[in-house]
Amino acid sequence: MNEVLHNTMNEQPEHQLDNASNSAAEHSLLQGEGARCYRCTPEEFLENVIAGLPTKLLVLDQDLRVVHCNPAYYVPRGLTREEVEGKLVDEVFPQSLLEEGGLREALQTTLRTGERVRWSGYRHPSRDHGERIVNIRIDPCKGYNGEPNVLLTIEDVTERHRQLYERTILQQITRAMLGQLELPRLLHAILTGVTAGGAVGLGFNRAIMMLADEEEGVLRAEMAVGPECAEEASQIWSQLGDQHHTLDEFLSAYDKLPPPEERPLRKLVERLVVPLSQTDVLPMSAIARGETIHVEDAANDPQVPAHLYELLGAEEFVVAPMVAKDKIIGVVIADNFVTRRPITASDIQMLTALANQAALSIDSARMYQKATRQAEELAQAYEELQKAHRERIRSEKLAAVGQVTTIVAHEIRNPLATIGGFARAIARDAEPNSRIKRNAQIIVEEVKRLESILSDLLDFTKPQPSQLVPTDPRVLIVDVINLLSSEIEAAGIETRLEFDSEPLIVPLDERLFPRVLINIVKNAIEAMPNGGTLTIGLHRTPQGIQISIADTGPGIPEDELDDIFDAFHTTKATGTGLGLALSKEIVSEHGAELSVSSTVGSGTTFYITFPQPADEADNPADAGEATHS
Amino acid sequence: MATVLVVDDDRHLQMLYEQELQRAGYDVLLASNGAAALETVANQNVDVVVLDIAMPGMDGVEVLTKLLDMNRQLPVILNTAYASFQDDFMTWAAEAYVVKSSDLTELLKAIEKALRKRGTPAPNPRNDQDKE
Repeated sequence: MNEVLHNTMNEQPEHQLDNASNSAAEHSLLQGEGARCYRCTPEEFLENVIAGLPTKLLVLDQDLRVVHCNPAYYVPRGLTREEVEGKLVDEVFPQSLLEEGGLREALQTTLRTGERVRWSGYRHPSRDHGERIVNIRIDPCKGYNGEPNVLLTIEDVTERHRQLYERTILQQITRAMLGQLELPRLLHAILTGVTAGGAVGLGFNRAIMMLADEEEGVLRAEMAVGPECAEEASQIWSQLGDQHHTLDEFLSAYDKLPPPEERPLRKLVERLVVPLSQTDVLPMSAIARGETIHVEDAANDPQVPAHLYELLGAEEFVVAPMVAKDKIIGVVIADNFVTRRPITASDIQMLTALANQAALSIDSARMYQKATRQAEELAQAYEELQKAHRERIRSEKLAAVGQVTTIVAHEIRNPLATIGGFARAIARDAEPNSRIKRNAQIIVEEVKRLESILSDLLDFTKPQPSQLVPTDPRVLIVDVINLLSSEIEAAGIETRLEFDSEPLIVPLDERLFPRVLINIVKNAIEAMPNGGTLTIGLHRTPQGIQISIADTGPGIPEDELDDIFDAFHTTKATGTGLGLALSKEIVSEHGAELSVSSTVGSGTTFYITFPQPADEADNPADAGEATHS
Repeated sequence: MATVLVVDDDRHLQMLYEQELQRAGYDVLLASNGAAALETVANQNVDVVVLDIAMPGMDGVEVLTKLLDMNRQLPVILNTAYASFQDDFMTWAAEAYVVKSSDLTELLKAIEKALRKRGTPAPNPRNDQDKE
């Protein structure tokens, strides 16, 4: 029988209400429960059931006057049933709900058409509870005289929503943290999650992140988010205003942060340092105990050391430990130091969940940083390896040149020597000024040229051991310029010598080194067939003593610059392409470096840099002094 | 009259050297390989040997070793296209090292110097003699 009643009430609530006061049928049905004794009438029973419903329930007539309401509705408002019943809906509900919210229209529609209305998750500000979230249902029902009435039920789902909401927030913050691999940004994201109010955060007033520094054995405050004082808080919070900021918007605020020394709570961050060994008191005790600790009366709590109390200046706060895979990461301290809103169990639960997640995120961010550093080191090593590889290819090419030369040289040398030798004999014995003499002479000259190319090849493949003698290169430079002066003049090139006045002594092989200068200067001359400026510099630079040879020719495209020291690379119609390769070898033998820079359109500069011995580099003035003494 | 033995497998080069050395006043003997060179030195009076190291058959360095075994005092001038042989310590035993060139001045100087060192009289250049 109870089942019948139960079903009836569930399926047809309007019918029950309809007949609540005068249904004989129901009465008899309820009394039909055999021999049991009832202490109340069916009306009273139903009244009790309705009174016990947590859902607010109102019946309104055609004029939208309250016919009936249950205690769930009037008791929280401090009213009696009599005070509500008989009143117009306008006297009971705020205009905002009736008009802007559209409740009046919905009620009237249901009265007129019998259409049911279901609003779920409706938010409205209530007088004393702040914002509430409710599910509203409007169903048609019949009044005492069978006239159309409406049943309005209002279910407060604020708490359920809040829990759901908190879970969502936590998820959002967690997601935001997972994407953050840059440590300061991540810390800020976490603290923002702890402090952001309303729709996007846990809503604490302040949050402080302390991280463990294993090397120094301390737990140190790294960052804090929150206002310095109540005035600042109201300012910040009024700026934030409505709740429609997304978490992402809050997180992107990091980019607008002032530098650390100008951030709020700077003093707190600077001074909050505790030894990792101090595990008997907060904040380390939270890590030692592995649980979030809620302090409600800091002044009298033996867990709170005096300096922590002074620095925080809050009576109530929470310390949540951050531990990732048995690694101590740090703690998050949060409080409501401005609003003094009590910290609830739910707040603590959420902070704990967030701190756990934060610990993992910080740990992975640190690993990422480490990995990034290693990746950079790897990239550098790779770069060096590539450089070594290029060098190796270059020297392999040289070795190949050597082999080819060895094989070919003999084959060419002999016929050349024969041709040239006999041509010399003919030229010598021919009539002076005769055509035969002239022609033989031409053969002699051409053979000489070919033999000099062969010499280059042979010298290149087998450089003579160099004999380095401390020398001032300027003498050699001037010699080379004099040697090539006719070619320089023929091309209409202006020569500038820019030498430091102090003597610059470098180890030079006087036999080999001029070949390098000749080679590079010849290249420069060939680059300026229609004139230009040849500038030869000799300077002490931070890298060492440097000879620079600059032309104002067309320059070398960047993609060719790498190859110009390679054997057999040449852009010239004549030449072996060995000159610069040979020069680089010789310069290397001097313990120096030959490099080049070029700008297409403005010219090319070759540099021969002799690295400075350490003792000389320390005291470069000495050499200069010597010229005066 | 000093006698110079030219050891070279290149027939035309032999002809050039023969002509130019005779012109410079030397008697000239020719050998095209190591074995022939050794035979000549064994049977005839040779004052200076001009030896090409890189020849088919016997290796030039080997020929040099054998020549010096026969006569430690015999000056051997190495004449070759390969500068690299200068690094072979065996060639240090040679009197001089001249890289082959169409210009024989250096070779002639080396021969003259070797002879002077051993007290052999300097040759009389025969400007009028030309085999061609």
